[in-house]
Amino acid sequence: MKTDPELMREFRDGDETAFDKLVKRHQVGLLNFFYRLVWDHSLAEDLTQEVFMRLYTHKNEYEPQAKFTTYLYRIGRNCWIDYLRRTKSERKNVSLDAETPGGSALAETVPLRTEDPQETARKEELADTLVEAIDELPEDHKLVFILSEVQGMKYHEIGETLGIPVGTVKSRMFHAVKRLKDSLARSMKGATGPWKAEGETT
Amino acid sequence: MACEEKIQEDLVALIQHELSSDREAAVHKHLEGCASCRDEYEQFRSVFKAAKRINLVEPSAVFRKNLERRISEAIEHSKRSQLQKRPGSTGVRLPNVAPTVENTSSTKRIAPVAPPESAATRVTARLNSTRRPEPRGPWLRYVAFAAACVVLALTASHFVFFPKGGDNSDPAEQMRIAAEKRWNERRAGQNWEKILAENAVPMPDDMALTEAVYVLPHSVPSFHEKCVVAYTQADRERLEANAKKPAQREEIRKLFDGAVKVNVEGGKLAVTPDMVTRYLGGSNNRVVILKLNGRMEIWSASAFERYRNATPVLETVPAAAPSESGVPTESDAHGATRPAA
Repeated sequence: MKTDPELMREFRDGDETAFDKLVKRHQVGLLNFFYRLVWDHSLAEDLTQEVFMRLYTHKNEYEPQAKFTTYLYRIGRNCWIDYLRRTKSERKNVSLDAETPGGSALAETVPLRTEDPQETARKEELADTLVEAIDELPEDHKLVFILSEVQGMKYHEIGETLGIPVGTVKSRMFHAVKRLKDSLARSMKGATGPWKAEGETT
Repeated sequence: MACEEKIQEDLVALIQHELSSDREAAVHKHLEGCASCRDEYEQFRSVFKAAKRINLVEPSAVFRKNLERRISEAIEHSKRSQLQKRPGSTGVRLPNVAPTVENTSSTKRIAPVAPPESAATRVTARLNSTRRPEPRGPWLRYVAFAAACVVLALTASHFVFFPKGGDNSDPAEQMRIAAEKRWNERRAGQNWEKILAENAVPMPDDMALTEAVYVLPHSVPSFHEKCVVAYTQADRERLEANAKKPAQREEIRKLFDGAVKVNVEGGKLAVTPDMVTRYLGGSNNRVVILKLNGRMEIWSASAFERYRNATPVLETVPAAAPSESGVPTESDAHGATRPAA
């Protein structure tokens, strides 16, 4: 299988099928990256298309020295910042009723498991709370958490993508996870398990 | 917090396998003797476990098709704006791509790559910067004065004969004005109706007698417009007949062949799950019907609600100008492009 830089080179040389292959390879990752930022499937698709569109129209500016995913997600980051600027005055809150392409609500994206119903309900509540908590993270913390969790990027790759030192990535990741933990703990107060909010004693 | 933040940061890095082996061993050793950090470590792990329970989403069936269309529109638009660009004009904004220069601040936008400067522009700029003013004779001043008078006279006559400011030939500005007009009309909400838990949408009177309609997508991401527009067979035939070139006819034929055909039964449009999920990304029992400028639009209820409550982003230049064929594309949904039903 050809590597991303090889495909990119072929695409620059005029092979459109190489671009198709790149889209196929990265569309799900990018879509989920944006989906976790906006929680709106249609909007996430628009932003994903925007990234591929910029990749297409600026194909000659890619330098093969850079890792392709780093380059791609840097375009993604730029698209995201552009989107935030455009919609500054109309930012919406996440809704668990937001629809997914299958017509189900966002809350229904939590997978069902064959386990104790009470346990299942608790875990689904956790995931719902997490969706809201992720949405409330500061944008720079959110980006770090999503790139790591969805894209599986290592800290140094996130640093290259966002243009920040690895130490900053580590610090932002910690603060993001800590805030998420505290949000989950607040919503799970009184439940059994490991959840404790800041200041709550063991 | 019992232990210092450095250890806490390392607990998260430990879960993500981001520590060196030495540091990992040190943190494990610390955990053995610190109940508070063990507790914290478990809570951090639970965050990652919960994150794994959020499912991955897949692209919709029209994702690739829409991408291809947007790319071809962007290329077409770019070509057109290059042709229309005049010296001194700001031109149409091109998309920013990934930077070539690193920036250490995450809050700052990474600087986009500057558009390539042509060799001719560079040479002219250099000549202008180094050229010394040439000595001018009195005749040159007379010619300059006469030219200024002519320009003034022409400008004045323009305002006299075209008091509304003349025609605005900038397609981006035309699109902006059209989008603002559509948004205001839709927001006024005079002719829209929410259909709850029904799969039959009443058709406008002038379309109620038709047997079926073609449903074509209309989506302008920059302006948050996303809906479908219904066309009758008569509309299709009229569009095809009006197409001047064979290529345009072909484009129209392809568009309609790719459209969802929806039956009209008893004056009502039978909303199919395919129609709504394929284009609107919504559920099939919550749609909004809107009659606007002789065209029928169908929105998912949630998308329309968002649109109505939003502020239109009018400073953004859309991807492309209206298509030549007259059939609305993603960037063109102005009512005028659709013939009266």
